[in-house]
Amino acid sequence: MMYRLNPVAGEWIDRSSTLEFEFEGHTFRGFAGDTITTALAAAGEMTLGRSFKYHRPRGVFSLANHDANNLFQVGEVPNVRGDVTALAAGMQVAAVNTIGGLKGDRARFIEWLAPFLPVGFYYKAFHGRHFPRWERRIRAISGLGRIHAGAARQRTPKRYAFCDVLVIGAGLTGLATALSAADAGARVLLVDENACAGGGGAWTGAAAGEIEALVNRVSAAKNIELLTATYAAGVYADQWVALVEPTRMTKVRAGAVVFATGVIEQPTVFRNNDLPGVLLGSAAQRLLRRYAIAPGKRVIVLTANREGYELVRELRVHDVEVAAILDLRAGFGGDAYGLGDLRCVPGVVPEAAIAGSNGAVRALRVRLPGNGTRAGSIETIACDAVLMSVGFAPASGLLSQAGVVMQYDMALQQHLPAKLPPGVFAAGRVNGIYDSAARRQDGRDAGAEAAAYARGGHVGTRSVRAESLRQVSHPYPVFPHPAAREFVDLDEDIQVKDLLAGAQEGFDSTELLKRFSTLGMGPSQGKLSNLHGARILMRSRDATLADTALTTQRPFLHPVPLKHLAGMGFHPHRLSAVHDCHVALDANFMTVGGWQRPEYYKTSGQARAECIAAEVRAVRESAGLIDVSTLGKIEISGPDAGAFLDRIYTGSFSDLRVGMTRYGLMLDEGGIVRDDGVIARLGEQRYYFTTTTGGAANVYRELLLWNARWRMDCAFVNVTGHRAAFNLAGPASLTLLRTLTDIDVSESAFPFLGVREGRVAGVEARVLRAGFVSSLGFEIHVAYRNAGQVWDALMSAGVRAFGVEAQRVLRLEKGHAIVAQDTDNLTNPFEAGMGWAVRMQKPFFVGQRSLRIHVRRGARQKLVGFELPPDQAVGAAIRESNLLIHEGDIAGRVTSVAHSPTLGRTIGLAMASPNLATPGTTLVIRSSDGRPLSARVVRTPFLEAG
Amino acid sequence: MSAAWLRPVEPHRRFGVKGPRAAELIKKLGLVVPGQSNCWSPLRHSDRDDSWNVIGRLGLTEFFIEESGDAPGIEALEQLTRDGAPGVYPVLREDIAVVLGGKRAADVLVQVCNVNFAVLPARAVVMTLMIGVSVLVMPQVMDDGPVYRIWCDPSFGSYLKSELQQVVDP
Repeated sequence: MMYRLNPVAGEWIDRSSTLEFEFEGHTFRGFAGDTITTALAAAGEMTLGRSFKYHRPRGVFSLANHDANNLFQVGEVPNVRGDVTALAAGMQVAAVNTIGGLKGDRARFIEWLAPFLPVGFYYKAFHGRHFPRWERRIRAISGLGRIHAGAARQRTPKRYAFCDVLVIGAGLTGLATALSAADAGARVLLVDENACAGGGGAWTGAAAGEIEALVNRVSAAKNIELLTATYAAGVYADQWVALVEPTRMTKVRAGAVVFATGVIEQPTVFRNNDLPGVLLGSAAQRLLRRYAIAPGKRVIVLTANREGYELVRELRVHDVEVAAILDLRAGFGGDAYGLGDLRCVPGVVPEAAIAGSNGAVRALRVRLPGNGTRAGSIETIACDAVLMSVGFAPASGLLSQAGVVMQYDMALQQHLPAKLPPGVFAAGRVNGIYDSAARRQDGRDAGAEAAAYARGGHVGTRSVRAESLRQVSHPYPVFPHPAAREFVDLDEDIQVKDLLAGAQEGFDSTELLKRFSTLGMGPSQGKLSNLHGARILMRSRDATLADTALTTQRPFLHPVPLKHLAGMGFHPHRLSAVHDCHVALDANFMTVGGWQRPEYYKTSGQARAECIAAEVRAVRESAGLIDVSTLGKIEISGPDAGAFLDRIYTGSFSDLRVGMTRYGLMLDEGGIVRDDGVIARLGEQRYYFTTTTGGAANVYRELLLWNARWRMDCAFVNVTGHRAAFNLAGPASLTLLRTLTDIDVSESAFPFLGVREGRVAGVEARVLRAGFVSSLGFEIHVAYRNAGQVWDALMSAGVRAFGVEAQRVLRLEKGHAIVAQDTDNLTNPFEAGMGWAVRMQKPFFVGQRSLRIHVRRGARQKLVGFELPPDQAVGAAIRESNLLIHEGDIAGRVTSVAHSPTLGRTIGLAMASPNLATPGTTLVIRSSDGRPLSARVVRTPFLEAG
Repeated sequence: MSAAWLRPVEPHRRFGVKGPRAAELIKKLGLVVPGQSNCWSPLRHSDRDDSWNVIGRLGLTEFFIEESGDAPGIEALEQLTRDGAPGVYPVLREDIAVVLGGKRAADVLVQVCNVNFAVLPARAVVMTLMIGVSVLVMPQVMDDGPVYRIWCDPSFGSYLKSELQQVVDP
């Protein structure tokens, strides 16, 4: 392990546990606690990936979950973030986005085509007749990891958590915040994205052993829960925060949230600043302190702040040779930091990093400070690493999601929280506070205030003490080069010239430029590039960052694995009380409105269509039984029950006789058909009605809402799942039912549309005489627990079960429309041929006023019946939603179609232009295979008897 | 006590009543009327806190009752409401019921429901969604520790039980 150092105090690796893994076909070893990236870095692997666009070699850059060029394919899992993913024994790791492997990537020729790939290339190329050609070519060579479609489904748990104070970030500030809030009595949840707590405290001013002591106190506190390797991915209203852990997602509801998220170090922009070996100073600190890895053998520190000199001190502790400290600021030198024995050059301008034969940096060319009016000389300094420490951006993505307004402070050259919503607090470096003592105090204050807020007490408006602030960021560490390749965004290979060109083409706001150039749209979401992009843009406009806002930060902060979002994949589904009976009858199930329903019952040796046809014949010739438990079933009782139904439905129900039913049609306030069903009057103040399958919950909610407004004296009970229902249909149904019930089912005693309560198969039942699928039929409604008994009794009487497909054919033969299949969100009842169910003369019903307008305007479409000639092949390729074509234009669509075994031809319903609705008119239907087929408009029902 | 367990509750009877005069009728039968909305109580004054016979007040004027054995309380209520009593409406309750218990019960709940059960008042009744299904939950302390009694529409019963079981036994 070439770059691994001797043990370092506080290192995160376990040297007693060696892990072997493969990278690009070669065997490597790392330690437990390493990430994929650090294990490779320790082995001296400089090039870890290829850039997205030009396929340039890339290495470690931030080591902070922002390294978009350190994405790996690990076994079947694509795009694994190597800089934060823990190494595991036996991992099969490969670089993504290469053709032929990392070293010999054949796609690197794309960089030669750079002159032909200007900024906004997609927008310029992806239109017109060239689009398909470009799309094919780009799809063939672009993309990151490979998705294995056959990979096993992973069920990832989600959970909810609750706390008084959520602290995001467990660095020096976050630890102080959590302890302070806990001391105030709050239940605290402390989360950090790193594998261990402490953040950058070890190299940003914490005293020796301080971080360890704080972590120990946190661990000992009973009211603090610490989650490491966990990042807050999104912040939502009312302090809901999505936390992503390695194996699950947690949705936290917090009383108050403190963002101790720190800062993100920003790169220096100069030619070839993307070469392997050019990395951020904080990345070098992470390599040194957490993983005991030297960032190079001979390094250059390019700096503009005190942090750069602190880095040099650390490098020297580990005997890493520092070739030079190059300060971008004039007048700064090593003496001021006690490093006078090193070569320190102030006022340097970086010209270019120079690549060696392995593609990694081998030298840095700089322009030394001039002398008065004379430009400085150029010098090339040999090195194998360039460490950049020139400034920071606040890690404010989550703050912005929480509604915090960030404002640029010109004195600090940093965005600071300007206004915090209630319950939201910020502390530490994100507030521009860099000195450790001030950060501790800021954290303690924030923790105490957050705890007070969570208890419903003091709502403080925190202000940052000005004396705590110091400038650590260079105002413009961007050094354009005539030959370009000064990368602003390493995710998307965006250079300074690209942004300037974009601005010149008129995309002169941060939001526009982002979309035109794709700046900040890669996996790191602009965390290392948005600030510089905005700086370049504003300078091109002779303006400053104080004059603009950065682009909007939306969830998720980091890309979240899809398995976390998919969770356990809960898909609620409902089973009827006699589901096991359907299984025993070998039903083929389908999902309808969340229910598992028999589509048809399989018969050995018969195809699906034959099974369905046989079920249809059984109903027409004898009797069939279908489970209609899925219908919504609602009871309404009380003195105003009838009057209420009069308002809800288009028909009249207060005048319905006890013991009778009536069809009910429900509209929305726009006069559009929403639901239908049968309303039965069981008593003077007692009604029972059905809704469509899947419509019950919505209808019930609507009823409650309307009555909250009307305050009528009635009560509703939704018994959809608590009652089963079966439709016994066919000419033999009456005879069969008579043998099983104490209800007088004779024609005179139980007329069509009647309802009776009595016993069927020995249990209490409500029986509705209905005619949805046949002229003679009975709906039998019983309590859930009794359903099996009734079903078995009916089946034992010789009835044949039929499924949803047969029901669709049977009702189509009878010409009955199905709401939401034969109607849509624009259909009023007159267009659907349901005008007979509307009593416009009533004083009021929901949707009446809009319906009057529809009537005045006239129908825009009509639901018509059609049939194909009898000689037309069975199953002629007509499907629901096929279009009607008239004089070259779309003139409607097929809403239902089926082959009727009873009639021996294909019949259907179509929503057609009114001028095509006259019986006898020929419709031209464009079939699924594109052929025009002729059909004839006919009157419905297609079948009167049966 | 195992980590977490899920047990069915059968064959207890369940029944509901609602309406402005429902509380009056329940009281008349000598049953307990929980004083506050969204609270439960043992069904009779003589029942202990760990009784299977419970009554929950759902909102202001709706009640849910579960009773074991011959369920005389439910029987009486059914008879009185069968033909319609003014201001009292029967509610058919064919719910399936399960009991979740064990040391990990709370951990199971936070994976399937977004209610913070840890801060609920004693004898709370919660009407909420659990893995997409409307449920009624009553935290109760039984012989073997704290448990959560859960009821839902029977058509969702198979789904709810199988998915909960998978969370209980991951």
